[in-house]
Amino acid sequence: MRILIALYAGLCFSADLALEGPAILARRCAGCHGARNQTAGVDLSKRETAAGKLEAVLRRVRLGQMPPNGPLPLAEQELLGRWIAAGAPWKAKEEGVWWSLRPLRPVSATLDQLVAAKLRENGLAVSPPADRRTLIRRVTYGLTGLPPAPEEVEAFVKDSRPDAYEKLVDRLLASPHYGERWARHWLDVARFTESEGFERDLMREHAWPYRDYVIRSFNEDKPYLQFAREQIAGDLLEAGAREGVIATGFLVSGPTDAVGLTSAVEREREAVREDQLEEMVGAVSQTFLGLTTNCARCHDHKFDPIPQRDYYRFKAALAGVWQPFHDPASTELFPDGRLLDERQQEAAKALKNRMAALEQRIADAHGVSRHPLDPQPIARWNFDVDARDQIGALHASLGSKAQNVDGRLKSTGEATVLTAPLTQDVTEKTLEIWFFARSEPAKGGNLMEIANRRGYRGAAIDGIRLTGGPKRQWVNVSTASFRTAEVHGPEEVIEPGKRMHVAITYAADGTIRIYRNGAPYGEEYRPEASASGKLQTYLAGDAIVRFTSTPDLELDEARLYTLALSEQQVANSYRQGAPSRLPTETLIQGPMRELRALVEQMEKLPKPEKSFAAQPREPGVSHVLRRGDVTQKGDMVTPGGLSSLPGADFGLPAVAPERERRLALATWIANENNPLFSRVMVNRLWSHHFGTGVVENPNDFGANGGAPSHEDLLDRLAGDFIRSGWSLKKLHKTIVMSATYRQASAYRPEAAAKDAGNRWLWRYSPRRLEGEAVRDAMLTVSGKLNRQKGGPSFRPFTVTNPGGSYQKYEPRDSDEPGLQRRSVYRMNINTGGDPMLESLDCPVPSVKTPKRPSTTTPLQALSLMNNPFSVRLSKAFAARVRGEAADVEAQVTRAFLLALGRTPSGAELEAGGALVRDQNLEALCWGLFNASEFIQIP
Amino acid sequence: MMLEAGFGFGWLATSSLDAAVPHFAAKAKRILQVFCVGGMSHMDTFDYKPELDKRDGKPFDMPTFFGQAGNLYASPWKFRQRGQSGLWVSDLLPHLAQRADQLTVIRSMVAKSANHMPAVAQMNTGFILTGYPAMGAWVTYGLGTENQNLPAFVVLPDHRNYPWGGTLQWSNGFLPATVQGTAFRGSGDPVPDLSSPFDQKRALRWVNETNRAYADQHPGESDLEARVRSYELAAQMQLSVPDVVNLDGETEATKRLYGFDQPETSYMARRCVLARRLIERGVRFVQVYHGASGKDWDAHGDLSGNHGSMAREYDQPVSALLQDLESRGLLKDTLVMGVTEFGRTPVAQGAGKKGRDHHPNCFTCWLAGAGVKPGMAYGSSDEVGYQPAENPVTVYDFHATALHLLGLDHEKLTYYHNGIRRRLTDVHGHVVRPILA
Repeated sequence: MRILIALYAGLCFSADLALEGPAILARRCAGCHGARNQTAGVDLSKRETAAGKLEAVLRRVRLGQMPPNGPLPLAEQELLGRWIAAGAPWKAKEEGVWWSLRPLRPVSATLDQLVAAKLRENGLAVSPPADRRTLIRRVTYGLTGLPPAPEEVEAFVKDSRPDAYEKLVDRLLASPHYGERWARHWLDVARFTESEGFERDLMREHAWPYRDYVIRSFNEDKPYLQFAREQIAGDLLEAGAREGVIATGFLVSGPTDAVGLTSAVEREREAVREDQLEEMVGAVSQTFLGLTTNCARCHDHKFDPIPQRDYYRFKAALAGVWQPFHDPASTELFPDGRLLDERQQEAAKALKNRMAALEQRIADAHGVSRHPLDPQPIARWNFDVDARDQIGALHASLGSKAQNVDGRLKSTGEATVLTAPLTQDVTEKTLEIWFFARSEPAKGGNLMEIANRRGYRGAAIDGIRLTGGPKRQWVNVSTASFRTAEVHGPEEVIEPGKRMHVAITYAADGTIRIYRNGAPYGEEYRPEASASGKLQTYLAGDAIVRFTSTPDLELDEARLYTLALSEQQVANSYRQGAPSRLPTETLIQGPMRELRALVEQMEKLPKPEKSFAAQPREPGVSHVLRRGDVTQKGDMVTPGGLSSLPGADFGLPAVAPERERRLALATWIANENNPLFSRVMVNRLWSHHFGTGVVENPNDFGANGGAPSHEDLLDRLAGDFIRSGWSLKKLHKTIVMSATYRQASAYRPEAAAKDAGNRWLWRYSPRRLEGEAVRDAMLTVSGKLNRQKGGPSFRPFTVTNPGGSYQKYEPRDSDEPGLQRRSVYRMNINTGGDPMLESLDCPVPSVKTPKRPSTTTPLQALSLMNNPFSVRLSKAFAARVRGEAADVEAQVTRAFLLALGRTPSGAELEAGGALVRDQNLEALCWGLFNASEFIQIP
Repeated sequence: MMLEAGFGFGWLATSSLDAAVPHFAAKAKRILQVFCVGGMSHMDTFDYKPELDKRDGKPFDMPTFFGQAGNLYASPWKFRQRGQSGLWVSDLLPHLAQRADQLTVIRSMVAKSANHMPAVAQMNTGFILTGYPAMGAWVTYGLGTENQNLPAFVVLPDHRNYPWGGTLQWSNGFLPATVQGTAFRGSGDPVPDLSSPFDQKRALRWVNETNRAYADQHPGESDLEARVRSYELAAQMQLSVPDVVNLDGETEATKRLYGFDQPETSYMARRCVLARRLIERGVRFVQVYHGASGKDWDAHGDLSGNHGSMAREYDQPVSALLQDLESRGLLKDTLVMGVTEFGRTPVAQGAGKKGRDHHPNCFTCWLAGAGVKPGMAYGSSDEVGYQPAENPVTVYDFHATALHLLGLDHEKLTYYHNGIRRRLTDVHGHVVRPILA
């Protein structure tokens, strides 16, 4: 707590002598002159006992007599003097602690009693209970996000049993739609996004498992403690647990500046990464703690007791978390097949071993010597039967144009063969090829390249290139000529029928050297070491190797090394190299046949499941960055929590492994001793049920978030929440069963005069449905809702790709069943918003949205009127009503029941009937979708 | 219903967006921004660097985005002093050069990012991350709307595509959706869902009556009243939007002035005329894009070709716009902002190459119209245009100044979001007073 005091002294309470004075005494004096050791009978720990002694204390301090172990810093002496001169006002430590950081207090009164007490204090009273028709609509929307069916409404209205409402609540909480509804709320906070944002906004094809995880967790009523821990460190809690891995999608759901992360300028990459971590710190801290820790990146938090150092400690705990770092469409998140079941893993392993053995036999038959002292490539493609890598996992598939003939890669036209992404970073390297010249090539070509795919326009390619005429030469090719240079080698004359060897080595110092048939070719060179001329790193999980085969030049073998071979080593390799002739067929026939069969078997194995989840890497030591600037490193920090909360010191060294950091963070955050953890979640539920939280901004329990309206209520519910084993369903039930929730929403001018914003809950605040609920309600009412659960998101847009490296999304509507699913299953694309949903305040998915605004605009009216979806569903609604009711009067009644949960009044029946007769039933159904009552929760 | 009652200011952003009172007397009532996407070169347009001519082909040590710093590269275009003011403008922009006496050129702009999307985002929102409100949204939030039939913040994207970041570039961010930018599309409905797919007259009457009755049964619910009103406004918008985008009534002289008749200029010309029409009808903030991801001012390989063709599209329509606004008396209270996300390097990109790389350290933007000193250059770059030599102007300063001209104090135009009273200018920004008229 000392830190806290110091902190407050340095921050928001710098003018509060009442805190600072006692803090100095506590820090400097109370060790000897405290409640316990009242040395010389002096106790300076309390106002009462210190009274009368302070002048003497000050004198001795100024004389340097006290404290005995050295004089107080002058600043503290001065402060002490001012404090005493001001009459020594005294505040206890507790008083200075911001309310949300204090431990939970036991509260015995019930929810309704606590609300009633506040109402009384403010001269207000609760409203009478809402009628049953209103109540079932309210609670059904509230818990499931869908309207009740007319039959359910009628049954509930008629059910006079005392526990009818409780039964209804239980039924709704048990509905699978409950998880869908509340997952949407959670996904807003978790800024769940299925595209990378920034320049390219490419899709994250495999982010949806996280969404399903959230739905599943809510439906199973997974203890919130576990739910939270999984999202921070689920991959570590139980090694390889599928659920836990998927849960970490939470951490990485923020936007990806793919261009910045692959910038040629290192400082730019670091700055972008630092921004990404700030985003992640913000997400974790706001979601689970309701604190904007991210605000302390550049300076101590302006309003909350979060010093800049805390930010960097918190960040250090997350510094090893990376997003899957490349084209999400092909993210092989679990290349080790981690999510195959055990039997499948065994089978895969056995297949792999057998294939390796066969490949060795085939290689032996080719006479490829593998002297143990020879440098070993990390990948080797002999192109005998396919384009598989005989050493590692950089397998390529041939595609339609290339084939294996005579143990070589052969194609009729120009064919490009791509490998799987690298499984390790490659910096220093050698590319090596043998090829057979069938004929004098018509033009030049890049025979073997290594390329970062995620790089921006060619930030990274290196490769072996034969230039076109008039003077054919070998060069290193790199996009935009970064590392390309004329080496002044002799003109290449390709002789048909000859086999050739070419290698390029890329040394650690940046030197690039080309070899032809085992001998140096031209001059070695070192490109300008200015940013991108330097040696390029090709990234695991992203970079690929690319071969080009032409009808003239047939690749016989290719190898990739993670070192620059020496001149001698290249010469050796050339000599031993790939043999110029295939071994006799008989020698390899059997193994080849078996190998082909195994490849087929391998392909039949279920593919590893993919999920856009955290990809941990060991982080280095973290430092405080002055002004948040990556170029201004300050002190080293150890991973830790926020010092104003208990248990913030994780006891980890600065070099602690990633695993320990994140586990410590997860257990520190999701902990019953952390008062914010339970309070924040209770407030989120409250906020959704009542429209406003006890704390108005559910993501900010700091000083800016304002004082809570019902602090004791929050503590009461948080205490119950913990005792229930962190059951969200029980918490929901407590809330929706309360009289506070069940009261009528009618406006009362005399109450509104005292409390226009309904802060004290004198009524239930009526409000508009969120965009998703409006859409889902239209689907339900028109009978079109496809209740299919889970799986890949539906995509109500077309994707065009005019520039090649980014995506453009255009909304579309159709009646295909996939597009009639609940909105929670809609693909959340940053730039792929739907005009209707956006007009109803659906946020950009990558923005953390603890609470949605509710606006009313002409554009919203236009969308509800004219959006193709809304018009199409009005027709479907009419078709349904026609099928369920024969005459106009019955149709109007049925339409009202379906859309509004009530029968029309006489006047409404007349007006509705007139509309149907004058125009048609579609017009009425369309009108009901545009009715205020339709989108309002009463 | 408003989520937030910001810091004494949030109340302004009510759902009806009534025009509100600014912080102090405003010089400008509205903003028309022309955005050159891709990075317009300063050394080839407004920032004359004779030293660059002298040292053409000489080495110059600097880090660059793609890291292929070549040698200094003189501008292929001749510079001349123009008009009464003697402002330097290159031959790349012959039409705009004739408007030199109307321009306030800032030659010492500094941005934060060398990447297109974050840099465009900074020019629009002050932040390089997405999710923040665009300047047009802030202005609308602060000042409300002056018209009821059109959105307060209208964006006219390039006819080829959206800029980097797409719709996020005119997002309301965490501000209410009421202040969101509305992009007018070039084909189909200019505004999404504008036209009615069937005859709604009868049904709409039923809706209005039903909603009126519902609001009457629920007195005190302001959002129900707002909803009734929103349908009336929607109906008005259905008439006014097609009217504003219909350029048929423009005179032949106007069409010629802007360049409707030439293939290079015709698209930009139409956007510029439309921008003027929107301004005339009281739209608060109009943003005209020139260039889009895929086809923009991003002259990496071939500066002459790229800037040459982009400038041919841009120069005449924008020059015509200034002339037209002035002759209609609109320039008095409209601030026109000519912006780009960053400049370009004084060195060529790669040895012996003829393009320039991204350069946020120093670039040029211009202003014209309400409240700024015309025919003036402010700030300067060093002898080759690498970095500001005097009076650097950050994007924050630039924004602060524009808000100031609208009568808004950039430190007071705040909105509380997730722990911070957010501003367009983050925690930075100073009004550039020397350029104020």
